[in-house]
Amino acid sequence: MKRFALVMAVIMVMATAAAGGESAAAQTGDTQLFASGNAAYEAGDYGAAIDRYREVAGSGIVHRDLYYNLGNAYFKSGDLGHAILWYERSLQLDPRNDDTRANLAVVRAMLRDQQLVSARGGVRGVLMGWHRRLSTEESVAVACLFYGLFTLAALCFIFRRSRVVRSVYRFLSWISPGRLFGLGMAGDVLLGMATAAVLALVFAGSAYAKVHESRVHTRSVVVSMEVPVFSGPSKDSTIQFKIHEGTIVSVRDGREGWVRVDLPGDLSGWVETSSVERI
Amino acid sequence: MGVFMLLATSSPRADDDVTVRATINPANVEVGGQAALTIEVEGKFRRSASPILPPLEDFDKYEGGTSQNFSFINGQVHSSIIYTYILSPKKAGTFTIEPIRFQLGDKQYTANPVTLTVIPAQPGISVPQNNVQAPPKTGTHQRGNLPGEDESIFVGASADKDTVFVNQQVTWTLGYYTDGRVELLRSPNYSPPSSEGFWVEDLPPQNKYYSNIHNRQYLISEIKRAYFPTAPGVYSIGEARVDIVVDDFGRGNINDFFSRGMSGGFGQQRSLTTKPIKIFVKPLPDKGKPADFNGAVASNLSVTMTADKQTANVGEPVNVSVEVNGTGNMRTLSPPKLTGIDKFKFYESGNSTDSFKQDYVVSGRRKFQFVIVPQVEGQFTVPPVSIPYFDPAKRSYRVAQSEPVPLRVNPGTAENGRKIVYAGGGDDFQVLNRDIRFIHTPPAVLAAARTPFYSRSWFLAAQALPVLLLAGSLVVERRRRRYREDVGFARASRALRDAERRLMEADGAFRAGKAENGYAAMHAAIFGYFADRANVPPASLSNEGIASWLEANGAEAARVEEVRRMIAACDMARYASTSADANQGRTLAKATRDTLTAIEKAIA
Repeated sequence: MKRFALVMAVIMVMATAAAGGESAAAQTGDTQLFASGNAAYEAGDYGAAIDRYREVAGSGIVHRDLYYNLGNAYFKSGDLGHAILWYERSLQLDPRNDDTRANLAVVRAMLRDQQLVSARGGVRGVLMGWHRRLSTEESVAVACLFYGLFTLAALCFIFRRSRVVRSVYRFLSWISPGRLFGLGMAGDVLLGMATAAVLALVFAGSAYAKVHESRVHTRSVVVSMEVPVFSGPSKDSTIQFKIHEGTIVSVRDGREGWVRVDLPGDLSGWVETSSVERI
Repeated sequence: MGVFMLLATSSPRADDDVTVRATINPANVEVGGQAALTIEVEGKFRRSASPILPPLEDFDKYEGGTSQNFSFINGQVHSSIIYTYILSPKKAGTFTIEPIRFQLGDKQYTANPVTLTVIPAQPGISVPQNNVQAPPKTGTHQRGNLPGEDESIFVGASADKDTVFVNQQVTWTLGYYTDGRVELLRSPNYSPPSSEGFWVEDLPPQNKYYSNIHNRQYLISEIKRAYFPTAPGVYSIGEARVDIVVDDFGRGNINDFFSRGMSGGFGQQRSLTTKPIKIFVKPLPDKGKPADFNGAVASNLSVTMTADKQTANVGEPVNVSVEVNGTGNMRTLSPPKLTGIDKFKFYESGNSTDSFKQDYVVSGRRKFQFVIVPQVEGQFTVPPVSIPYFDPAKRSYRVAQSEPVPLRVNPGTAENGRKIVYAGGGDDFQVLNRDIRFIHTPPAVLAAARTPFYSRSWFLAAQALPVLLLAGSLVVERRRRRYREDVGFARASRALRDAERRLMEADGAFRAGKAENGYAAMHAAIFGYFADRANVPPASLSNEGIASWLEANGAEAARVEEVRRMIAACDMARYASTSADANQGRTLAKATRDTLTAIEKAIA
């Protein structure tokens, strides 16, 4: 019995080592392919660069720099729609990347449907800015942080009569804004609880929206140069208007070969599935 | 009574507001030409007589028809009647036509005199004829449903060609003939023929002229339409209909008059229809057809290409217009292809068509708008645009071509030339070009997509921990508060624990051979337990008091008796030291613990 267990252990160790070796070899191959894509880009062969980057992405690699470089290569080859698509995908992984944001701004300025490039202002613009500037994992982490602070504040409120809590509060109360409003310890802790709860809900909502968006894949980019938007899922329907490459649309519904897209200004219609790609 | 009222309102009645005007058009005409003398009577009256013209021995005179219009304004009837006469002078000179009179009831009105200058007929000299034009030289109208040499009104239709190519113009003409003997009560109502298989354009204006048919002078009004067949085959331009209402007053008997008058007016409705016309449409010949031919059929096609700027920056849109002029149906012209612009983004931004109908021939100008966006800098030329077309007049294919358009593309975007002036002075900083930022180097680790931590089960399960922690804390805090605030609860809660501690002490004493101390501790444990449970001082409890409390709390009689025995055993051992046996004491202590535990469970 002991001998059998020993043999099994040896097999498992060998298998693990082999798998690790395969994985390391695959990663080296992906890195080399990535580097060769960069070399093609620098040589001005953007088509080859796109092929190599896409091969790396096709192997399941998810990395902001890979997506960013793909966006660059598409832009240099004159394909603004795919450039926007890959920059947006890169921003989903690293929403505050300055390079990606700068390049996206350059490409957006060249789009034909300028009136459909959303530019929100006011409170909503600020909130949406924060929403977009955090990745999903960051939003979840921040929501968890405020959830923890809420729990801590709730524990302090429950045990507010205990000596330990009172002494800790005395130590930390100088940073509490509740004192400015004349609140006692209970009110101060309740204010902290409410603040933490609201912030936790805000970031949890932001995270939920991103998760939901990534699951249903509603945000899409027009990748064809000019796309007629029909009133129904058929070429016999009326062409309502035309949209052009790089325009971001919301995909709401789909039928065989057709998707329904929504645009700013209550514009809506059906386009062929091949003309848009989901971010 | 009603009949008399109707007769009264229908009888001729003069009014002071009646005016009579005479005009002649044209005022200059050559011998043998035609001039239209128009007499317009306007005012408030019910019925009119005909104008009385002076003797016109120097003219041939024909009646050109009458048109009449009624309107009710503030309960008053306003009527306007226009009488037209065609005068054809027999000799040269200046003629003043007067007096032109008009008898209305008892009153007679005189129109203004009109003067007509007649010049001798001279070959090559054209005298303006205004709307009165020469009859068409080609095509004879096919008579409609009113053939017959004595008809005063009839219609006919004709086409200038019966065999054409696809998209070649066929001019269809409706002729409306009237000799002026019939008075119309309303303007004729025209319904055009069907046009299945054709693209149709109306061809204004109406053409009017006089023609002598069967020794009778007819005024002929023509309506023209252009038909462009859309596919080869045999098609038919359907029948056109003209609805008229003629005044037949005086032809019927008095009963007819009254019945028509009572039923809403005089007149007889008639429909005049033309015969359908067959058109044979030939396909365009294959011989000589250019490879990029796109179905354009026209004559004299010309193409012009222009750009709204000669210099642009990279990424800056340039509007390019291609204008195509020619004779034919320009609406069906397909957009031309811009080739050789690989370095540009290309968009179609719209098109428009202007149609012209000079001399009943359709021509037009079609404009195509494009937007090109340069992607790289350099000197470029937008190559000429070519449009192959079939010229039906020459029965051959031709190609219309524009000139090329040069375009200089400078680097940079719309932000070119943006200056930033630093507060510290010095030279201005200027952004020369703007491009995307460079690619990133490959990262050290390329990871495949993994399940994010927020989708893992441990993370989701961990979200419940704070809730459980807060719920437990609430329970603990409530219990602690009750301990603090409710002495009876606090004593009852710890009664058994204290009793067990004392029984342990008793057991220790029994083990040490100090039986009396052991029984004393056991006694204290029993009384202490019940004192805590009843929340009273131990000294105030008696044996009977304990029994009563047990009974009051629902303890069984056997249990009460058992407690009595335990207390009695303790008392016996404490007060009669001879009976204090250590072994028995340990057994009793164990039994006491069991009994108290059972009581705790029973009355908790």
